[in-house]
Order: sequence, then structure tokens, then C-alpha cells
Amino acid sequence: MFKNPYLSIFLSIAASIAPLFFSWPYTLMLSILAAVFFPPIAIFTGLLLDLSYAGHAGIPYFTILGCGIAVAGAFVHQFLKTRIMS
Amino acid sequence: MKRPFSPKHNRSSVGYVAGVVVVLAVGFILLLLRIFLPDAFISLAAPFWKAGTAMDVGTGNWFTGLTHGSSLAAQNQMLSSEVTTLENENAVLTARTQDLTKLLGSQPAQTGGAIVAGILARPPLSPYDTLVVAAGAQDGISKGAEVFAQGGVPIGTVESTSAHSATIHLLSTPNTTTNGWIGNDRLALTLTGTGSGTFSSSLPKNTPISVGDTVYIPGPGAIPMGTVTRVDSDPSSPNDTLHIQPLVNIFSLTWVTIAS
Repeated sequence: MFKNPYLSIFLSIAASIAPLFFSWPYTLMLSILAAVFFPPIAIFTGLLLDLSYAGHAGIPYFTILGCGIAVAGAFVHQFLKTRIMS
Repeated sequence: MKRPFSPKHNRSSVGYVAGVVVVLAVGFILLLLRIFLPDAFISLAAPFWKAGTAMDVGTGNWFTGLTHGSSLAAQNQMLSSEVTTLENENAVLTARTQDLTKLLGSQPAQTGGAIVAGILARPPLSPYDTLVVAAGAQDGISKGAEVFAQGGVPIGTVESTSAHSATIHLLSTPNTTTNGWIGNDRLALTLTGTGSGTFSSSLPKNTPISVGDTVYIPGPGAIPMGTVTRVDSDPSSPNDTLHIQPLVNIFSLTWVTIAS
């Protein structure tokens, strides 16, 4: 399942448009799941949440959270990839 | 041990890097759009917001339709009767206000025009307790203008505007404070937003308040905006904490009026 590129593409597209469709807790869950397959998508999702809804003077909390999820997702992604290859 | 070169693995790495570049490039373009062409960004996002709202409504209607038809019919009849009663009460109060105005010899204040704006996005779609509306500076909306829900209840202020859209900062945004009153005695209190349309406040112990008391905010006059749903009393604190449920359900707002 992890090596399936179509699943990775589907989850990435779903996570990238989720901020405009779903409530933010579901968007967060979807981006965490997508980050395991493709970590940078979490940064994009967080950025889109902040661009769409944050005030101009506010701190971009979700962009920062997205960066954190991307880093964590990269570790998980690398771990799973190593386990599969070995 | 050195891993032998594999064309398949090399292709997947190139694809991964290409994917990262595309995602970051699209993100950067969206950031530039939002900063320099905010209306273009809203125009791109609006069809998705409308589709999402339609999906929400359709899903809600589908689940509602699963309920037995007769209970829905009974509920509909009860609600229609309630609406008729409220309309009649409103007419009585309006007439009474007019009589009092004539008696006291004063004219009601001219409130000026208000702008009706449709909502494109609301919580929980928005995680920041903000509303995005489809009316902006060209429609007469200015930064800092007061925003009202149905019934004239103030719910927030305009935080930023572009030509055809505006972002509204709700009063219930966490750590936002608003002055108000509680109860028939109109005791003064400070409301603190706790997100998702709810508020909290604290008053000294032994203040004559109870669950169900109405909370008011200025707007003109004292406008009811919520009721007390819980009172927490901590023996180590000199104050009681009130939890306030608003009268306006921000999750189901479809339009607002904005003072011009």
C-alpha cells in the first residue's frame, strides 16, 4: 500500500483541497495521513488554511503546524521506506 | 554494503523531487495571489466553498430524510405555529414602541444603511473564528465596521477588506474581550471569546446570577446575545466563571448585515 503512487497522489490532492471543503479538524487529519506518503503536502495545506481564513495581523499557526507535520511525516515516510526496502 | 544503482529507484526520487517543487511553487503562487490580488484568490476559492456548503446541506437533508416522516411533519407544524406567535409578538412590540415614541415626543435614531452580505466560509470550515463574506470595499464595507446577524445581534467586526470580499473577526474569537451586561439588573461584565461562538466571563462570588440568565452586549442599547449555560465555582478563587451560549448559531449563518 505504501508503494502505491496512485494512493499518494489521491491523498495529496484530497489534502490540498480539503481546507475549502471540510471543517478544519478533518482537514488536519487528512493532511497528517497524506504527510506519511508525501510530507510537503502538509505545508501546502497549512498555508492554504492560513491564506483563506487567517487575519492579516495574525500568526500563521497552521502553516507552522503544517511544517511540523511535514517534518514528522518525513521521518515516518523514511522509516516505512527503509523497512519496505530492507 | 553499497546499494547498486537502480533506474526504478532513481526515477521515483526524481518524481518525488518534482512533486515537492510543484507543491511549493503552487503554494508560493497562492501566497502572491493572496497578497497582491486578494479578489482573484477569493474568486478561485469561492466555487469550492459553495460546493462544500451544498455538500453539507445535501448530506444534512439526506440524514434528516431518514427520520420518520410523521415526526418531521409534526415538528414543522409546531415551528410554523411558533413563527406565527413570534410575528404577532413582534407586531405588538413595534406598535408599543411607536406609541411610546409619540408619547415621549422623540424620534428614533436614524441608523443609516446596512449592507447585506452573503457568507462564503464560516466555522468550522474556518479554524480562526472568522467569516469570509462576498461583499467588500466597492460595496461600501470599511475596516472596523460592525457586523450583525439575524435579529440585529452584533457578532463581530470587519477585519480586512478587498474590492469584493471581506474577512470578519468574530467577537467569540479566543482572547477577544467585549463589555456587556447580565440579567435584569444589567450587571456589568467582560465577555471573553472562547471560540466556536461561545464566551466566558467571571464575576465575584455571591453575585446574584444563575443558569439561564440573559447576557447583553451594546449595539445600540442592550441587545441580548446569549444565555448562561454553566457556572463554575472554584473554592480557591474569589470569582465564579460563567460559560455563555450565544443566541446566534455561527455554524449555520448564511448572511450578515454590515454597518455602512
